[in-house]
Amino acid sequence: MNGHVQRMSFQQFMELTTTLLPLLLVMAVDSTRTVAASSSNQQCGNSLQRTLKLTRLAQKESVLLIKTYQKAAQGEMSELFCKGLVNDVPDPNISGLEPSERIASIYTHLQTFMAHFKRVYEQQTDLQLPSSPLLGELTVVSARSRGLAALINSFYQSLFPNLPMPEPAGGPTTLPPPQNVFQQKVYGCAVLRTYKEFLSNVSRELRTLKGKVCRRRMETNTFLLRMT
Amino acid sequence: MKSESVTRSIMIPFILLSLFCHSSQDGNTGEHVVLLCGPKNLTLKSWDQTIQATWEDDPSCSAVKEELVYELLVLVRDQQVHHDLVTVTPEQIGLSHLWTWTSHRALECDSPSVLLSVRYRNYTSPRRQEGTLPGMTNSSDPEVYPRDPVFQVGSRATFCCVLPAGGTFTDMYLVGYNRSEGNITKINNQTYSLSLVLNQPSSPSGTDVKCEATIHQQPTDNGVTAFIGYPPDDRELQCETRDLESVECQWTVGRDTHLPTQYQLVGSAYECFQRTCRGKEDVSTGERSWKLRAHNELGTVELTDSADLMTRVHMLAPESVTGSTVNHRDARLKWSWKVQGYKDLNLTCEVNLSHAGPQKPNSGVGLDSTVLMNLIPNWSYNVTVRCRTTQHPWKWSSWSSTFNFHTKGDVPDALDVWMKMKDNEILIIWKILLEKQSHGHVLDYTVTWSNIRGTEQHNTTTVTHNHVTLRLDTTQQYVVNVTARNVNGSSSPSTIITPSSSSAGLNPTGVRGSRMAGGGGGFNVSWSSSPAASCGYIVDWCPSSSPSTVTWIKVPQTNVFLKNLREGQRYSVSISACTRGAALLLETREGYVQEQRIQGDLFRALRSKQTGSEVELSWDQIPLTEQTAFIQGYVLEWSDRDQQDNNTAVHNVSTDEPTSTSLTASDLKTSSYTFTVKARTALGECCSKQLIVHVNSGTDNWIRTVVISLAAVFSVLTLVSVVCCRQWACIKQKVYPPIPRPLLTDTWLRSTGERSLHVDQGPSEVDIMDAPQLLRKPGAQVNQPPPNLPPPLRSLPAPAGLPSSPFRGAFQNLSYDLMMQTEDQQPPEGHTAEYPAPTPPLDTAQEEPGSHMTCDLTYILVPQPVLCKFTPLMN
Repeated sequence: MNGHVQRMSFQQFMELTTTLLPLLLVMAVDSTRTVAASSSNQQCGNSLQRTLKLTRLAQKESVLLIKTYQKAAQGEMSELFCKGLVNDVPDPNISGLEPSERIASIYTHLQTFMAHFKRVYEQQTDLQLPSSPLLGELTVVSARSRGLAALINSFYQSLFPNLPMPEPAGGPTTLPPPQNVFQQKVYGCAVLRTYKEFLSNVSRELRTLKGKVCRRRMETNTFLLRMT
Repeated sequence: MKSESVTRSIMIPFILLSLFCHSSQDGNTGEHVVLLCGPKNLTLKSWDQTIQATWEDDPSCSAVKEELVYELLVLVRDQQVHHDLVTVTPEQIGLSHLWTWTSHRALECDSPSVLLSVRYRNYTSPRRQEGTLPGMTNSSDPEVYPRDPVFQVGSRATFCCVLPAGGTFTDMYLVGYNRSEGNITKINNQTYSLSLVLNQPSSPSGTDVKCEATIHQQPTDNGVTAFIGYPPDDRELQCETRDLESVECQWTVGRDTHLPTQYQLVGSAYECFQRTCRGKEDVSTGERSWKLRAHNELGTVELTDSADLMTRVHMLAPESVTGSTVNHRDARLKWSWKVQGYKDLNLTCEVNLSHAGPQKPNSGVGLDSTVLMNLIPNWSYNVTVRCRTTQHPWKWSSWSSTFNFHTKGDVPDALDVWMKMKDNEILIIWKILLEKQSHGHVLDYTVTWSNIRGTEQHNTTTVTHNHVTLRLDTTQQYVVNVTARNVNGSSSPSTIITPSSSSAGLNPTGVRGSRMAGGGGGFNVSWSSSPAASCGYIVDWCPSSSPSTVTWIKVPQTNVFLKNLREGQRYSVSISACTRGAALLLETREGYVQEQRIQGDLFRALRSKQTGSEVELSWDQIPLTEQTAFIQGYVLEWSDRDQQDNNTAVHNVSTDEPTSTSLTASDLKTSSYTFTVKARTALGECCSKQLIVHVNSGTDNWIRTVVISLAAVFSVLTLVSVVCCRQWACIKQKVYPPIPRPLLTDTWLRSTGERSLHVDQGPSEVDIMDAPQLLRKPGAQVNQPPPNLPPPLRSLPAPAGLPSSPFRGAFQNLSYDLMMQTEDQQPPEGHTAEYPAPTPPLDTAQEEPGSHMTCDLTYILVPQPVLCKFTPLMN
């Protein structure tokens, strides 16, 4: 009786152990992976925060640039003047439904704006003295746009390592045909104003992504790990 | 029938044609040709505001052996806006012809047509051709023309704005111009023009011309950018060589064209940047020429220059300037040349020395060094060098970079010494050496003096300031030497000989003094020449209020202008003759550069003193520092204050003595007077000060004296009385001390008391009331006998056999209750009954020592010391 009791106790112990052991193992692995996911999420947040800060800086610089531009263009750039419909100026809105598409849209927009900045710089070189601050600020904003594009690209690669950055849908950037000087001025102003609006949209988008992409990534990682 | 009709229908036109041809041949064959001559293939082109028409002659025109005249009409909306003729010579017939015309308005605004016809002799060909410039394409926005035009400042420009169909014109203007400066004209429903004079040059980004309109109820605008400026007007091209290997051409740029302007050196590969063109060239080729072309949208200018470059050497600045040797008063400079070719040229170099300015240039072939002379010891110099060619001086090189050096130190320069005499003292004073004279920090000055005859030893003193006062025997002359010493040694001595009192010397006593007037910030002093002056004259001056701050100057002539002096400051000037021995004082002067009105309170301590009917007002001596003008005298005015009317007589008294310190008013009555004292100067009276004085009569003074004396005596007496009263006891003790009373035995006391009581039995009621109050107070102590005495009787029962007395009822035993009461211890009046009569026996232990009691012989046992306290009962 005692032996039976002992055997039963041992069997029960073994059953309990066999039941608990995998559970414990799963918990241990899960906790390890949760830690890893949490760390990855933190990296995502940091990267996003850095991008957001650079976007805000670029936004401030673009506001200053518009002021300098208006001052350089005789100081009478009315709202009407800059808001005139100008063809071939990029759309300030970010397109796409999925986060990956929207981040890619930001990147391609920045690439497009850089081409426009180059054209505006060329045009203004003929209209400004070499010492004009406008040329310097245009260079700075263009360089900032390049840096922001690189950061967005890096962020995209970290989020979606298996998704290549898509090429712009419309092919190479379309620049406006030769224009007269007045049209060049309007075009330049429109490019700067649109860029500022675009950066505002980017800033908003990044804030949205912060609560969406990084968290989802963590959840996705956890889910994938549990599946395994 | 049918064949007839066909034949007829063929024949009739043929006959008519034959007739027509026949008639033509009968007339003129040339005219027949002209009918066919005319323009063909008319094509129109336009750019900016220019129309270009090209056409050809019809082949039939080749038959014309004379000039063809083409007539061109420019029509805008069927209205002729321009007419022109083009003559084609017979040789040109058959070629293509060209005609251009520039409209004052953008062609897009008008869509002009060109009508072309030809004539020769008096015949005008019916053949014409018409062409119309293509109008502007339909646009959704207002369009402004001309596009990106260039105008000269001051020209009149016309812009037009073409609206899309359905558009409504709002406004048209140039940015930066007043709206009133432009004239807007409606050309048609869709076209408006703006005409104005462009009187401002545009910025590099141009001047915008804007057209605002409403299209489909949406405000919109569009525009063009106009560039307004000037044609180039550069001038003075000059080409030169700097390195003997290349050429630099520069020119004077004219006014800002406000337009992009290109420069080109024609026929050369020189690179032009800003206002310089540069290129490699062999400079030894002799004379050659250059042509510069400056061009912008509004014009072109060409500048020329020709020269032999060897006469146009503009050297580069010397390099590495350094001092190879630097001494006390000279230094040697060296430098090098960047261009080796300079070493073969004859060069002239100029050195610019700080504090000394440019030095005399030196010349030499390949000159690369120079010596600087007459430098100041212990002095810092900055030096720069520039050079140019000697044979063909063209331009100086720019100055080299600065080289700094410091000369070595040396002994100080000799001092400039002077002296001033006052009484028996001689002030020896010398000018402090300037930095460029001291050649180092001056440590001290040594003054040595001795009798001029050398009969005394040399006396020496060393000081660190710039003067010393000597007390010498003024009957003799002394030789005084002064030297300055720095770390490098002592200066050479400066000698001055003091005059003796026997000679005129520098003692101002007996020397003519005068006043002088200044002007122009100083004094122009001139004096008569003196035969004694063998080495010129010495003029010294100082503010009269501070003679120790004397300054002097040595001049060879008999006049000098003393400048940089203050106005309103009195200066003393002395003129002395410089002799081989002691200086000889010629004259002294005193004056102001410009007298100024004396400000402030001059009569600060004004006071009065009455003597009888006179009042003397006096004041302190007025210091020179407060006298900003010569005081010529003083005025004292007074008036009677008790006479209120306006006709109050004002009396005055004055003095012309500037040193006076008092004035006296006389014949004054007993009244109150207002005295006013003033100073008189060349600028008028000033510094008025008033004093009110009450003049009293002599009687009043006597009465016042008596009253004051009486009051004083009364006051003294009162004071003495008060003191005596308050200290009466002391005084009495001192003056009239109490006589000790003998001690009485009991029997004597009893018998005496009985007698006393017996004697006192018959007083009246008044007496009873006046009797001293006999009080018993608990704790009161009676007078104690001396310890060596037997205790006195304390209880003395009344003898039974004694007759009754009215006292016995009230005072049963007075010995226990008797005490002295001071006034403040007495009971209030009417409350006597509240103090009960003493009741025997009284315990002696309860009595305090020192208690007072009245001096009733019956009860006094031992004499007590008198207290210094006033007590009415003692009386």
